[in-house]
Amino acid sequence: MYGAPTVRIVHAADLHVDSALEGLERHDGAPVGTVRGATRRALENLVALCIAEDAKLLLLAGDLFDGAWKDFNTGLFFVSQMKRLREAGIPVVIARGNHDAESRIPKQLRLPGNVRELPTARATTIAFEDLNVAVHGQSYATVAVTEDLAARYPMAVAGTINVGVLHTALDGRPGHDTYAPTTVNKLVDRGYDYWALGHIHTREIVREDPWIVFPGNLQGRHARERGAKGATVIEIEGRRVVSTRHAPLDVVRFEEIRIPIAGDDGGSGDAIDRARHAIGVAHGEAGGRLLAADVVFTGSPERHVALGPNRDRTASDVRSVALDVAGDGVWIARVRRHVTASPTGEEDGARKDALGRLIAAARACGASLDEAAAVLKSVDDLRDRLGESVTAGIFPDAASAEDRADFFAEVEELLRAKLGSSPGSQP
Amino acid sequence: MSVRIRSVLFEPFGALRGVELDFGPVAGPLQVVWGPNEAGKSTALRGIVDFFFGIPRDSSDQHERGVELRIRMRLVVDDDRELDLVRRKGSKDPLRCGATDAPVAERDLTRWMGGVDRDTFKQLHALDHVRLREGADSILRGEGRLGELMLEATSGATGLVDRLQALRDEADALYRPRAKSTELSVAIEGWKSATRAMGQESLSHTAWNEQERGIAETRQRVMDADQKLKDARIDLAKLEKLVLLEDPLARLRHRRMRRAQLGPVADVPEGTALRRDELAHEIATASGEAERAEAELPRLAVELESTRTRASAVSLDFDRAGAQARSVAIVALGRAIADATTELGDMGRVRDEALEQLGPPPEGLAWSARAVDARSLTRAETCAAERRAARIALAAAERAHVEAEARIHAATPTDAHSAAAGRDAQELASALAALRRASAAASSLDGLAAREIELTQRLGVALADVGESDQDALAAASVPHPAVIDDELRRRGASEAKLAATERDLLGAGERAARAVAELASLREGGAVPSAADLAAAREQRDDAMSQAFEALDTGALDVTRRALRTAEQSQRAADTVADRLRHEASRVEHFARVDNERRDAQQAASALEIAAAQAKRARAAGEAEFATAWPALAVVPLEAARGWLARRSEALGTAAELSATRTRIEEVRSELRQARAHLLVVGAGSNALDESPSKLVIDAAIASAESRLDQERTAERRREERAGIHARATSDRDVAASNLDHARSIDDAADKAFRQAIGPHQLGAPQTTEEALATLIALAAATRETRRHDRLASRVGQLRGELAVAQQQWSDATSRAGLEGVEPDEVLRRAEVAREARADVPRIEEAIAQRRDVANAARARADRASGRLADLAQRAGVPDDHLAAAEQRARDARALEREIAGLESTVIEMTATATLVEAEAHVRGVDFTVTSERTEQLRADIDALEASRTRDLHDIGAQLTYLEQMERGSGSAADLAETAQAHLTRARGLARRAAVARAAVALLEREIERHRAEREGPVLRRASDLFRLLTAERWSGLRVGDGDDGGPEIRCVRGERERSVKELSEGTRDQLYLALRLAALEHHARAGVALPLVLDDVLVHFDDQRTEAALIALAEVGKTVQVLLFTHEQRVAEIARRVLGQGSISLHELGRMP
Repeated sequence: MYGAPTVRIVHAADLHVDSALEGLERHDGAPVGTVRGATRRALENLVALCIAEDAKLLLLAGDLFDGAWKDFNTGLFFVSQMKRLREAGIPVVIARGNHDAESRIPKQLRLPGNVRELPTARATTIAFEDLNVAVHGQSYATVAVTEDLAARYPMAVAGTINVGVLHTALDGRPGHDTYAPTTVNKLVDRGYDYWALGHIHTREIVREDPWIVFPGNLQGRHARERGAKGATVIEIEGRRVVSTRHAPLDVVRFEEIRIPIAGDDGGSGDAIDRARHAIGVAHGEAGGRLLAADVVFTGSPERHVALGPNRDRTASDVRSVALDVAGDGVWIARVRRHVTASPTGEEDGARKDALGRLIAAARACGASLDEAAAVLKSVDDLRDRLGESVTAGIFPDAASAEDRADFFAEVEELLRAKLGSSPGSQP
Repeated sequence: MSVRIRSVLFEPFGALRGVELDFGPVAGPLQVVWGPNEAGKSTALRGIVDFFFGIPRDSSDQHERGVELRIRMRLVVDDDRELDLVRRKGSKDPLRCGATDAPVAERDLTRWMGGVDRDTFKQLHALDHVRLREGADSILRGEGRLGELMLEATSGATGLVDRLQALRDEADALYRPRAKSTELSVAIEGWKSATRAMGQESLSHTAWNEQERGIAETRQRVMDADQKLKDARIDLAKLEKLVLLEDPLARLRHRRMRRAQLGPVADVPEGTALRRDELAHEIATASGEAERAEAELPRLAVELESTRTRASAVSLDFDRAGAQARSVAIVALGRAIADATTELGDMGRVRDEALEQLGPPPEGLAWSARAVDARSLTRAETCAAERRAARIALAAAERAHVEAEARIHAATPTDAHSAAAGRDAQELASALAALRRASAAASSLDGLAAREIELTQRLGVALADVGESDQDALAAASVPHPAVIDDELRRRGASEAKLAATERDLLGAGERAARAVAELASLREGGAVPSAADLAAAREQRDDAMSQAFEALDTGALDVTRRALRTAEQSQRAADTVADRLRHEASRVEHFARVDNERRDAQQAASALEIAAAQAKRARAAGEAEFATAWPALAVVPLEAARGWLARRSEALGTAAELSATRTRIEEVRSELRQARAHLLVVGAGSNALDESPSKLVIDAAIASAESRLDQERTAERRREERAGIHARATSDRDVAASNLDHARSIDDAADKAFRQAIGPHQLGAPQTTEEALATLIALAAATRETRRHDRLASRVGQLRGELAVAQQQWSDATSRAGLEGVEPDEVLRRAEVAREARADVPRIEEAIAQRRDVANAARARADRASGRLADLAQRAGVPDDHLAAAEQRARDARALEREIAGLESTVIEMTATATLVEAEAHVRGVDFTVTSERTEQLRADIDALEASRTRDLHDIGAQLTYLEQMERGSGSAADLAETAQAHLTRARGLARRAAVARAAVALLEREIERHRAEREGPVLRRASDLFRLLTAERWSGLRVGDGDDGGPEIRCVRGERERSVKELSEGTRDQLYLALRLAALEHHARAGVALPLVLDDVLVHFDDQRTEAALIALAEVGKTVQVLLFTHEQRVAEIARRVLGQGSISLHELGRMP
């Protein structure tokens, strides 16, 4: 007695085709070519996955594009990939999300016949009778959809696999606007077998019975979108979703590699050696993809002394060992220093000399807005001249204690480097 | 806190070995350390610094490997506590207690040093003449700006002005307004440029639609052109058909005319003339051929006769091949017999020589009895070799036996030890292992004890830090998780913020109310406001005045009337004024009411906010009280410091736990030591020397003694074992050698016997040696071999001669039968060959004669048949045979013209698409072929133009479709440019951050410079002024602050009534100014914080005697506050110090030789 044949459906969301990867500062030897068109190649990987898995259906749960097209080529490229699926006989159901809502991207493209777009007016059911699958869903008409769309989705069709496609933040997720808000219970109430969600860029299986899944975005786009990105493969046997699995499809993997500066680091070489090891490990875990890594050295101000005052030199050293250990498989995007509290909390703070006072003043600025306000005025004109595009998130938000602390930790480090020792001083 | 060096001992350090500087128990005197060059002054200075901050791993003062660098220093802390410490070079516990050698934590020393690190100490508490000059130069470069000067003097960071400028330059290098070459500007430009390029590369929806529309239009043009081409081609085809008819019609007419001209023609078949010529030629050829064949027949008959004669010369049964073979065999046998006979002679001579060499055989013996064949010789040689080998083996076995006996004798034990010795060694080893463990435990005991002390001290400090004396109470106290503190802090922060906001709102409401009250007061101060009664009175007064004016007018008195009118006019104005004022007041009242409402609202809001503020304060107080109730343990610290307190508490509890573990370990170690006593007895330590817990010294001594004994035992044991091994091996070797000897002897006997058996049958005579017998055998074998070879060759010669006789008889028989008897063999063979060839030629010649006859007969018959056919041809043409060619040509022309006419008629019918020629001729009748041709050319030109246009359009469509396909794939160039723009933006953002940090650093540093100046300007400058006066021996009266060129405060030096800026000072005076500032700052620093020793290294080298005197007086003055160590190599400085300061104020020390 043989079981029912396995039917596979692929679920992806938040493709953000042609959105540029952020935070990758170029340097000599950076593998620029690998990064180019990463979101496009991730989409190509998705299409290749559907074909390789012999998928019977592809569900795209919103934010296929990053916003109104500056370049019509973006849409044309998407169509070309959908045509590949058409040639492979794979139908596609797409929903529009907040980034590609109908108001932002009017229907200017002629999509191939295998692509069905969910309407914006109301929730609709598309039946795939040969698969015994019913797909329910609705697209965003406008950018900010604040009503609970899921509440108006039809109830499950008896005797078939019911799949809901929805772009939503559920009841809220950090870092994401709460569009189309709803609750897990409301989704469960619809009686569907699988909820194919989009909008949240981090993969999350909210629930397994029924399946409620955020597949995450297809390609990480900046240092905060770390780890493996890709799509979810749904396996159906008979009238039941039996399993799901994540298929990594990203071509550039963002990671943050934190290197604590050890107490016995006698010089930058020791810390750089440990960075070499950590980069090698992370590169191995990236599975052959380009690893775009921020390397962060952490430790108290005293321990940062071991790295020396020249940040460019440190960055260059780290990039050099990365090249050595992983060739062009790693792009060290940034090398940062994160100053943590002194383990004793007193060394420099206890210094009574002028440098000690200066350092204490820098720390006071980090801790107190009143102290910092006058000093921060010195960068106001720079902020005005450079504009929001350059300074947003870079210049400290005076009201944010964390921003101030980070900023003045860097100021402290610079002052230490410039004033810390006196050339030629011998007792 | 103050630190003073009581004494320092270098034991050793660099070249200093056992050198001690004792600065005495009393604070105050200026410590002058004199030493000539190379006396170790610089080494001592480095040693002092290294003592405080550690001896570097690559110290240049490590002159000898293996020698531990040690500096012992006694420090006086806070004038009442003396520390005795030793600094060692190394990574493990380099700082130790001088008395106990117990490790001392670095952090303790760091704490006593006020957190000052090596660099800071060098900057702040050390000064040499180079730094002094640098500081003075820096004053000049900074143009005496007070802020920088003060900070520089108090931090010791020379070149502060330059550093500040470097920081500004760094900020400017990153970004300057309107500068295009800074890194940040370049990155921003790259970003903008890539963004612009991205816009250019982007494909718009409109462009896409235009492309599609363009293709559709071009396609329509192509379709139109196709239709036109189709129509034109139809027309052209019609015209071309008409044009094509012109030529066939003309040719048809011409052919018909020519056929008529030929008239009637006889029907002569095609090729008749040619056939006639062929037949005539065949008749001639056949006749010639018959004649030539008949002419050859007589010659062939003669040749046949001659051949038959030659064939009959030798009989037919003669076997020529057999005769030739026998002739060759006879010759070859003759040659072989001659050769064998010659060789036989040679062999006979060799055989005779061999026999002669052997000598005559023993009497009565024949050769055959002594013959030796090869097998017998080989056997004898083998036996001889075996016999020689057996002799050699026998000799070797005898030698081995003798040697083994000798080794047995040498290894026979003479001093066997008892087995008990081995048991002693085992017991000793066991005890030794136990003692080593005990020793290790004992050595850790000191460390553990020191650690216990240190932990006890640290625990005391830690408990004090957390405000608790009882560690158990501390451990039992309930404390919150740090997150709770964070939450509470956040909550309090939020409460504070809310309260502050409420108070700000309250303040704002109060200000609004105050403004409203002030405005109301202002409105109220607007003066008396007229009432409606005032207005009515004014109007009544006006009316009265008017009445009086009219009355006066009626009287006619001009003066009276004029006065009355003026009065009326004034009354009118007054009434108007009152009315205006009343209208104005109405609006004021309205405004007043509004302001009053605002005041009321503001006051109400203020009341509400006061209530809210009070509630917020109560809530805050309640929250704090609740928190304090929940976590009473935190009552000892402010909440902001609670996390730090928790960390310290955790550290204190950790220290307590470690202390407890250490004490447990100490007890364990002591228990182990008590157990070690039994082992000490085992190794022979006297029981009277043992305490209950033996010391490490006792254990180590016992270990050393036991190790020595154990070594001796083990050495003797090894020797015994080695000798027994040698004896056993030698005995075994002797037994083997004896066995080998017996075996060798038996082999020797057997070999001798075998050899004698091998030579026995050959009758060699009297006994001989093996080699002699073997040589005789070899000679016998050689003679036997030669004799046998000679006999075999003689037999072969006889056999050859028999064969020759048989061959000669056979030859004679054959020639006799052929009738050639007596003829030489060669001639016999030649004649036989000629006869054989002639017999072969006879049938050939007979066949040739028959063939010639057949040829002649056939040729005659062919000629006859050709003549008959020629006659038939002439008869069929009806002309003589010589006219056949002309008749045939006319018939041929007529047939050709008729065929052509028929073909042209068919063409015309076909081209006109008619059924008959008549219809065809009617079809073209009246056509003007001149006009038709022109029209055709025009149509062709039109078609060419249309096709060219269509081709262009098709090319266009192709290009457009290709472009469209490319577009459909979705070019990624704009997306790539977006990536590039993003990369530039990332770079720009990184640089912007750096620029902001640099600018903030500059701002912060400038602010701190100013703060520093403001704080220290008064006390430090006053003290510096006094010291400057002292240092300059009162040539300058002091310092004051003036305005600099930039308006900022600037230091000025005062001499009498005059002031000088630093630019106007001499180099030496600037040195004194810098020294005064440094000393004043140091004193101030010492009073405010930690007073560490000031170490001066040859700081007075640029000072003349007078300035040196002044400087020493000033330094002695400073020495009352901080310890001053003046190192100098100048003898004069020591002498001046002694002379100027006197015994009570100076302490003079010598490194090397004293003056």
